[in-house]
Amino acid sequence: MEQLVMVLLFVAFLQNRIMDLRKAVACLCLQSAIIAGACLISGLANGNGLHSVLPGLLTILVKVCLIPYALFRLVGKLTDERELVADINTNYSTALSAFFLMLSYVLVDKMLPGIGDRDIMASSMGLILIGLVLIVMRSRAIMQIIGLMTMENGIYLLGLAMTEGLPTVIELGIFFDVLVAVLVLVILTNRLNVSFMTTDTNVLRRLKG
Amino acid sequence: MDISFYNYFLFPFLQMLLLAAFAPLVSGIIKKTKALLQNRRGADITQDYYDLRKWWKKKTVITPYTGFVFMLAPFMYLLSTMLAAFLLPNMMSNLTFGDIFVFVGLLAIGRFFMALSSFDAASAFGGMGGSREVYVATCVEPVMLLAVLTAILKSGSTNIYTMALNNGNQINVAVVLACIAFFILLLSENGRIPIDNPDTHLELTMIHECMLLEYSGRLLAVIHLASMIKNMLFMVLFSLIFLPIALPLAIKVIITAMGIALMESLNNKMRLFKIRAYLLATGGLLLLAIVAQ
Amino acid sequence: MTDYVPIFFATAVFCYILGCFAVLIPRKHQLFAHYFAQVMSILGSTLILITAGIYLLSGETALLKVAFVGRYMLAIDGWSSVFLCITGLAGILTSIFAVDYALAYIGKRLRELSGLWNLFLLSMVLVLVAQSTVSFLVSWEVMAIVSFLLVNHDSEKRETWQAAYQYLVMTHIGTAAIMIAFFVVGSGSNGLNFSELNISQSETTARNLAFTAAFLGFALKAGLVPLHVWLPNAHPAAPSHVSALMSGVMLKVAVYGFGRFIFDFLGPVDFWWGALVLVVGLLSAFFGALYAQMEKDIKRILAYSSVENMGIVFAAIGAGMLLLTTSHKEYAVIGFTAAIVHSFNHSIMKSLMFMVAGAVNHAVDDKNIEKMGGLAKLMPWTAGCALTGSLALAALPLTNGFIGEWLMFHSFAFLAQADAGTGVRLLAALAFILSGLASALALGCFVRVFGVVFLGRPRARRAESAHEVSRFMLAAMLIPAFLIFVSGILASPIVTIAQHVAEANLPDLKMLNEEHLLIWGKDSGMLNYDTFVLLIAAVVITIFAWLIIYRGQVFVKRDVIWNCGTEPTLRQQYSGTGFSKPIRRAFDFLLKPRREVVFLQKENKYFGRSMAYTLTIPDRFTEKLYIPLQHHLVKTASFLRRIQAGSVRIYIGYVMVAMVLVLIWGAM
Repeated sequence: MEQLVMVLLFVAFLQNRIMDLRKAVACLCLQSAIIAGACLISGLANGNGLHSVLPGLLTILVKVCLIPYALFRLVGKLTDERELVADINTNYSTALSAFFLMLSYVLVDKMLPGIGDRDIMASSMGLILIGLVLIVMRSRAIMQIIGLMTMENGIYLLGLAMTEGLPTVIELGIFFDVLVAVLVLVILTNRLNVSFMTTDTNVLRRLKG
Repeated sequence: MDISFYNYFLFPFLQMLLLAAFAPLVSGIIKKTKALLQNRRGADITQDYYDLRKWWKKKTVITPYTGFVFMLAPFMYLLSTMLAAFLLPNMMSNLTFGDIFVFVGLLAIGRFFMALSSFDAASAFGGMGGSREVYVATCVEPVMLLAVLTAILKSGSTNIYTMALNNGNQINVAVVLACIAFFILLLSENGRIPIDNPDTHLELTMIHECMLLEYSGRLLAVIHLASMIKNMLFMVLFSLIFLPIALPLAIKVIITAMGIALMESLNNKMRLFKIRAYLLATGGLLLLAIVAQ
Repeated sequence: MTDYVPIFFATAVFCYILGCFAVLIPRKHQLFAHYFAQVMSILGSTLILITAGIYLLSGETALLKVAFVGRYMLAIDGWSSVFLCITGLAGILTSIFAVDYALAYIGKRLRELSGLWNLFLLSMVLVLVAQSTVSFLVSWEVMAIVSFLLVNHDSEKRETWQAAYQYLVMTHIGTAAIMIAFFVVGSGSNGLNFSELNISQSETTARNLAFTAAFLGFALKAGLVPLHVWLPNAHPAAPSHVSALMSGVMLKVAVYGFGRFIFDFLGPVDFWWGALVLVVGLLSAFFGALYAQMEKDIKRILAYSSVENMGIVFAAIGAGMLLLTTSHKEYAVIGFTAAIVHSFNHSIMKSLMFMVAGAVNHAVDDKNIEKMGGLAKLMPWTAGCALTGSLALAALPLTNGFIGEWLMFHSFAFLAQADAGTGVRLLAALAFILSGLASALALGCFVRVFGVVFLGRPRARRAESAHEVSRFMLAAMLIPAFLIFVSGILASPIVTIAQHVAEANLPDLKMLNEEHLLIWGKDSGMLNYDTFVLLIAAVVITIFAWLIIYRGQVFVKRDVIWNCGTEPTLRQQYSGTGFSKPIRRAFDFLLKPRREVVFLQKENKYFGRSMAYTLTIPDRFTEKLYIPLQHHLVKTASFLRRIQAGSVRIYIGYVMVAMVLVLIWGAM
């Protein structure tokens, strides 16, 4: 499990530095796959049967297949070439992510000293904060969706680490919620693109009252 | 009738009539002294009785615009001064009521009605007198209350009788200051120089006379009698409470009357808006007296 | 007899609630709805008066439960029954007046006016009987909102809704302050019921904060300077009977609330608390009376006079509080008795004068006193009632307005005699100065009001065609006029009851055994003002004088006044502005009037000019205090507006920062 967490953190940092949209979506897909793997491992460790494998399978279905597929389709609709490449400096977001990871380690040590799953807890908290950093520091809509998904992954991982598996209904609810959220965001990004010819969310500043 | 009826009602009533009867005499003393100081012979001391009789016999002329307030006001003025006279302590009995605040309040009734009557004739003179009277009242009343406070502090009670009893004859700073200040208040309340000139009818100089410009005949007699009684009341109050000399009351009143005449002869009337500063200074004297107690 | 109190109370509340339903009656029957609502309010107010009267006359001092609403108990005790009495009486009087007066509003939302009237009375009654913080605050808020709706009734006019809006904002600031006070006290106590609210003696900052907040809130509602600025705007904007009720009752409910805090919640009184209340009360009395002289709108004059009288009430309370901190503690009863008695008397007097103002407004259709005059001949009964009200408000003896002021002067005298150092003595001297100024200014003010409105000649065309008011309005005015004299002369029972209530609320004093007023034939009390003797003397003198002065052929002719040889014109008689000119000049360092003279037409150098003369007296409190405050508030708000950057990312950034900070803080 710890190795998976290490790989996950590496992928998260990688996400920070990727500017290309298709590569970013692929990175997200990889991240979700790792989460799904962690879920499968923990589910198989806690019991047998369908109900222990179900969350992992659902994760694979929703977060690895459906959502990246939707995002790829959306990226395909963006016709402006410049949209796919240009953005701001990635060093700032990387530095901030590193700081937050360090902060989450410190906090976990302070609040829950001597716990066994120290790495997982800290990295899931770090992943949440990295997701927030992504949302704040990226101006393009699709990157913000990716940031949101990262945050969701982090929350899911935190829940996974704390409990031995949530009840199936709640799991189903979570997945359904994530799926609907992303679908809505995709539709809205589409509208944004159609209305303003760009997915740069800075144009929304004009709507201020 | 038991003793309480005599104490509470009959003797004060008789005293009130006595004060009312002697008021014109005291007013005559003031005028005679003023005349003697001005090197004239002057009129007789009893001249005011003849004046009252003269006015009484004449008929009254009123304007078409006046209503009931015009008729009522002289009588209310007289009523207020007589009721205030009722409250003064009685030589003959132990009067337990006679609160100084009620005294001041009763005199305010008279002032209210006189100022009100000045509106009724719809003339310019009346309003002028009324507005000036209200202005002087505003300046005078706080100082009057401070003087009352001085007397309360000295005697420890608000009853006029107790204050009169406690008018011990020691002369210290507080007593002298209070005496001077109340004398000035006496002049202000009764419309004497330097606040107001009681002898003229020129619009520049009159306050009290202005309000009664429209009155004639019996109503004028009533108003003049009421003014004289008010004058007498203040002089009696001054002699009883503030004057630290040990003499019988009548002599003290006559001395006060001569003092008023002296003040009137030595000074001239102040400008109207300087009254504010003058009474402010008086108030300052009284504050000193209060602190020095 | 006190067993019937809950029944009476419940019936009264039921009557009020029924009256509120008049709003639902369809528009065709709006006249019936109006009469129904007014009858219900008269009935309800009478029952409230009976309830309070039974309690007061029975001499009880304990809490008497009257109802249970869910978890909340409603109960009355001495202090609240005094104010219930005030509410009931003023409610009856103004409701009778409103029966005919509100007919001017037919077609203009009459049903809402009458229905909300009942709700207003009901909310005030509920404030007075609430025994828990929540029920008190809820009723208080209902009272504030309903009074806003009533003030805003003529909402088509610009001045009305501006005044109503200002009133709404200010009363909510007051409510916020009261809430802060309640919660500070409640956080140091066991619970939020009034019986449990008790803050401990040692927490000085909490007690000071609670006192300041409570005083701020209740002083704002009672209209003390400098928080009074809503009063002179709201009272003219409201219909006359609403102003009468607001001025007569709602301001007193604030006194009730403040008294609750002082007596029950805050414990022993500090020196600077009493001094603050005294000084603020005195300043209100002085400034209220001063500004009243300068106004030309009759309702604004009466509003400023309410400010003055509330100042007197609070000054008396302040003197009582100060006396509690000196060695002469038992004399503090006099201060609180003065406050109770003056509240009661003022509600009667002010209701009467506002009703007179409504009647005059109705007859002349103008609120400007400079356009009236000579109404005493056209409306004699109204003039008689107005004369009674003016006498009472000028605090002249033999009327009931004198008693409260008289007791207040005595409390100042006792304050001066208390051996508590020169500071207290000078404070008492200051009290005498300011209250003397206030009473002299009040006298001048009411001379001016009565004189300009009712005496002399009519100053405008409309004043010549005024007519006397209808029966109900006249009855509603005659009753308080009668009560003014009756309670001025039969003052002893009222003062005794008030003294009893005050003593019950200050339990750790030795009781004063003597009574305050001297009744014919009894032994002497502590303070003496024998109204009966004065009355009998007055009657005797009147009889003599009547026989001597007014009998016989006294009057020869009615002739024109001497006017230096010319025929007196209409405009030569004094106007109200002219009458108050010497006082305006005497106090011009406070008032700072602005004069502007514009010469319009100049034919000849020596005569034949016409000019326009404008005199403005700025409301210095609004200018110096409120407008800068508003300015700073708007500037700060505009500065803070920069947070709203318009970018979603920045908002999410705020969330992120907050989350990180909370995490760090939780870890510490």
